[in-house]
Amino acid sequence: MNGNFRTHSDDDHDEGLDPDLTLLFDTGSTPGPVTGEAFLNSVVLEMQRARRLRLIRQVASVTLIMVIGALAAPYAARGTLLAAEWLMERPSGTGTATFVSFAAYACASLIAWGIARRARSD
Amino acid sequence: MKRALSQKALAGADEVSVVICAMAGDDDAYGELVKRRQGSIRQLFRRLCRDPAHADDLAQQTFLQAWRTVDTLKSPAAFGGWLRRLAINTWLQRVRAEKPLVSTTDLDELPDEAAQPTLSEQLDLDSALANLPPDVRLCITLAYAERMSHREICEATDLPLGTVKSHITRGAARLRKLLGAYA
Repeated sequence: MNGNFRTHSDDDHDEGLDPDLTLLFDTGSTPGPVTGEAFLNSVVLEMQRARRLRLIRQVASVTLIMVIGALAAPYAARGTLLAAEWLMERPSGTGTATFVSFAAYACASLIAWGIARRARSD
Repeated sequence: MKRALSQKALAGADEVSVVICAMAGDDDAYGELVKRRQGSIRQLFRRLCRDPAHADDLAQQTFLQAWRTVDTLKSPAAFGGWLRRLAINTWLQRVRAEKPLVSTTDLDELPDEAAQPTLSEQLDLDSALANLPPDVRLCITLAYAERMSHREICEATDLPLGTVKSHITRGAARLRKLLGAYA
């Protein structure tokens, strides 16, 4: 009855099983309400239904992302433009001062040292 | 849907090859696995639930769950055991959703009417099994019908080994009583 499932030899399973009950379980088999073919068809139908649902969910997710993207795009573009404008309009000396400061020099030196070390180890 | 082997080739192929195809997303290969395994899984559920239609629902649920997760299977050769474990989990989830599993003590506290079955019940193993508490029925079915060792049952059901042994011993005694005709 369950030959396909057995993973151990029968000796491993003896563990005090009642031989009469064992025999009864081996011989007694309840017929199902549907045939194997009908059962298989119902499983296949469910698989197809699940696949369709998954596809619908994926399409819906992509559509939702696209709609949100389309709605948010003008705001994102406006934000980018404002940021660019702010960068353009701020005092030009600030950037230069940052780059020539001691801290910037120290950072650049550290980065250069790291790159040189890695190049040596390779 | 990927397609690796024809229906005819699938029918003749060994299970490991079919499982590999199913793991790669071949639905026909998975259908072949359902065809091969449905008998034992449905029979297991029919032993566990009295209602054959409900048993088939649970079997279908198990096969669908297996289909969704078959690609996570570590070894194609382990498909049978993995599927059976899924079936046991499906059953346990269903039982636990209905009510908490009863302890062995409850086995002794069953009403007397269960101890004196009708003549037809004496001859009907499934009816006798239905008189056992769900966890005892599960242990008995796995031990006698699926030939699983106590340790395997313990691992599959997460019940302590002592409980499994006790369920099997006391459940078998109870079954013998219920099936008095042959005891």
